[in-house]
Amino acid sequence: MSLASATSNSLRLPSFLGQGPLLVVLIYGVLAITVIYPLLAVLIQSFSEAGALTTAKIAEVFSSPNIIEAVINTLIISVMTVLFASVVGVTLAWLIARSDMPFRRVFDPLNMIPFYLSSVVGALSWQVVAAPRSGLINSLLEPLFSEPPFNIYTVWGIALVLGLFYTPYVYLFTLGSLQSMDASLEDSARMSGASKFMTAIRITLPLSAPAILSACILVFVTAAGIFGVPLVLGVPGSVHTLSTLIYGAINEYPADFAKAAILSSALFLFTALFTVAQIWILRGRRFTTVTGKGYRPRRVDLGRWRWAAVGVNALYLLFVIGPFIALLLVSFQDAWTGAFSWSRMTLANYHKVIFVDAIAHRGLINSIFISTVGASIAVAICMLLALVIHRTRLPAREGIAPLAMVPVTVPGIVLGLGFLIALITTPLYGTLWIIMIAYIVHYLPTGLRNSESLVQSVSRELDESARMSGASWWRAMSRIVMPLVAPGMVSLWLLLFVTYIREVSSSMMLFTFGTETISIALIQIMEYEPYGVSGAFGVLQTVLVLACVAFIRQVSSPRQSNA
Amino acid sequence: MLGSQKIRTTAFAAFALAGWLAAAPLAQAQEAPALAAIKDPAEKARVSALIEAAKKEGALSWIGVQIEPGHADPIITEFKRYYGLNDIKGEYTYGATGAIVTRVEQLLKAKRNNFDIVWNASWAWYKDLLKRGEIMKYESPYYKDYTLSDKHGMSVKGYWVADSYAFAPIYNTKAIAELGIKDFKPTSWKDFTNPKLAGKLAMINVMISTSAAPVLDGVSKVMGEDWLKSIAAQKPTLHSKAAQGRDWVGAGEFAAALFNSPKDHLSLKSRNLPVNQVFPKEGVVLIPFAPIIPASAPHPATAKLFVDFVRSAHGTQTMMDAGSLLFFGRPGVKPKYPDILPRSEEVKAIPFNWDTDATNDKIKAFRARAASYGIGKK
Repeated sequence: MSLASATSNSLRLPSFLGQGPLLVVLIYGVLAITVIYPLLAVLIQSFSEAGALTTAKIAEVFSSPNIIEAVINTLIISVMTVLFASVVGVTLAWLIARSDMPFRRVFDPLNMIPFYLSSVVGALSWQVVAAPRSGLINSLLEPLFSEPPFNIYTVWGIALVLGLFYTPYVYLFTLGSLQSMDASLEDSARMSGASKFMTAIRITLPLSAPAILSACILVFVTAAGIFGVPLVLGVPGSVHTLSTLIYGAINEYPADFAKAAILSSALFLFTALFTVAQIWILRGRRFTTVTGKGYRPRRVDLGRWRWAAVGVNALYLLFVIGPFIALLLVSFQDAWTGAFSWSRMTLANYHKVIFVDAIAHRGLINSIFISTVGASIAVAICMLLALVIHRTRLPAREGIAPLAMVPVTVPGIVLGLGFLIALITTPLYGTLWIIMIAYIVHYLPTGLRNSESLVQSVSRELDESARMSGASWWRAMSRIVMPLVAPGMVSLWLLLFVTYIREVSSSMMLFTFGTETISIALIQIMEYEPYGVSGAFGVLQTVLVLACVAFIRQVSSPRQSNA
Repeated sequence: MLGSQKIRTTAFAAFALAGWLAAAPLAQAQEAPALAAIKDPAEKARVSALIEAAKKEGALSWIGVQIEPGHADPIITEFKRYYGLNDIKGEYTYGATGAIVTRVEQLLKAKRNNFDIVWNASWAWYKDLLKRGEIMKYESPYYKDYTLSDKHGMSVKGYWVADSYAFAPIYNTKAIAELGIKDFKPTSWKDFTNPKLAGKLAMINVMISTSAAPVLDGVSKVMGEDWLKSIAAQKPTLHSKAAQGRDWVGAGEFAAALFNSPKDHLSLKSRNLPVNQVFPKEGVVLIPFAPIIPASAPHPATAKLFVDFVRSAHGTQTMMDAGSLLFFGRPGVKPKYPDILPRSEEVKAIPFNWDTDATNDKIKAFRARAASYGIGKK
């Protein structure tokens, strides 16, 4: 049997997967229902009023000054978040990957901490620190100024918190690029007389540009559609974004689905344009940072600036961890008056969220269920798609990845609204499954991209040899490819688990009483409980996520080393 | 020695078992306290039938605002005891007014309603539900005692009678003193137009809240347009939820908040914070707050019994004692915290018709007027 015939033969898939072409039809069908249909539902709703198609509502919505202000706020917040995250993320990545800054091994994992934390908890922490009058910093500094120096309830406050929480995205993307870069390019620049700084600016950064740009677009799209932080920090200061207005339109009475859909379509257009722009900018450009030559990236000697670099990295961590420590203090206070008081120490807040508050329990259990089961299903789906795309010659398989990548341009709140409109009359509504499906769809691009990388990292020769020896396609995949990518699948599972447990935008539109997730439970608790109780729940949520991450890493690490 | 010990233990166990076997049918035969309290045989038969049906239904699912989860538990426990329904499952879900409207509306649209009791403060929504036939007709025998609810125009015959709550100013005495205002003992809404409070006053966002906008409108009708302009001149910071105003004042971030409930006042007082509340002499707008039974309630018999319970004298007092700081629609409920909550009969209500004064058009017009004075502007 020739190799060609082995690979072009009809697939001998397990019976539950059906025949090859049928499988492709099934995949397209599922993607159409879960990715395209909700978006179409939003779009159709935008043009519908009283059952008729019209554009009158669109004109009415966009003639409101509040909407214009929200669009501007959204733009400012997104741009500022990208600027903050990219400047800090690239700087930290360069310091870790290419400099001789002390404590790099310590800083590297610590710089990723915000990635594992809920930005809603982050917003709550910053509220404790920099609320205009009761914020810890303001309480300390107010005597020195005529008025409180910081106000977190502004577009700048929102952008700061989002910037801090999205820095790890840029950091991670850039770090990978810098670590795999051929140092000879920088050496050439240095030998030609360029300073260390000029080399970094003119050679290193341009070579990492695709990675940085990809991260920036991802951060921009996410920040434009993010909901939790603007809800916590924007609403008190009357700073509205498109996402909070979408939520408001659904939560006012009577609910204005048309307005929510119009704003969602605008937001989707906004984020889709930037994604298309990214694709267009990177089109046809080649940024080869990894060559075939043997090399080892050399570290730049920072000289006397080494400790300044430590200071920069430590400052970032202070901005991330400091407010959490403040939140921890608040969680042990029976009332928060802007300063810690020993006489107000209590464990009552923890007692309340652990033993009394039913919504806290539900949120915790629901989130663990959704994240555990959802991440498992997502990994299975993404691996199947990756195998179909890269390990078969089925017709139309090339179209699967672009279709599955569509959600990367769709903010969570828009996707949530789409699911709500599309599925409210189905038995799925009001269940945890609708939230789980929304999560899987929203992060399908993340899952698929990682799965594709994993599958592509395994040489085709291995499974083709197996097939030539008579193994079926499924047997070759399950016995050859899957075991080789298993450690990567565990990492992907962990990534999705953490992402799902923090997610709030889409579930905010889809939850009902009884299906609250942990972040929604926190937002609900903040509705009526004092800072201390919300703080206790925020601390518990953070500890839980970090413990889960540590546990899963611990469990998966021996397998990785074996692999 | 060991043998006699064993005999004693066995005898005790046999005695205990016999006692239990004898007592069990007796307990079964015991009348539920609710039935024991009813004299009228027809009413007794009606309630008995409801109890039997409720036992078969086996659950009660209740959603509400204002009554916090910790306060709902003792109410459910007493309800179960009072009607001999100890084996049913009682569940309370707490939500914000707007969230309840949104989620219940969505559940109704999806035909998936799972609530037996909805207890919210959204008059316009209730009226819409009524029009759409989404509320079960039920006339509890205790509705006739709800004379205060009738007096304030908050009853809809055959569907509900209402309690109410009110927003009134709270203030932080320490923060007020720091502003240089001496002996601040407010008695009027006018006291909060003191120029020294400028920038230190918080107020629930009347541009968003559908209950706060009519309240401010109602107060401004009594106090006059100049008062509203003076409040606007204070540049009040708008908060999105009552708890936020409560915490801001509690922390001293703001010296006063214009619209908070006695529940917020109690919450701050119980944490030893220097906060007081005033019910101004000009009166407060009472916000109707009524339990209704959705037409699609999955456990209708239990829901009817629960409505009977929370509208009875025993039930309302149970609620008050559990911490529900409401102005009950029936007279005679003794406040648990008289310093925090005046008696329902004593509170001065600003005349307000929720049917005509709180329509969407009226709210829109009021918001436009308030905005023209600068309320809601940063």
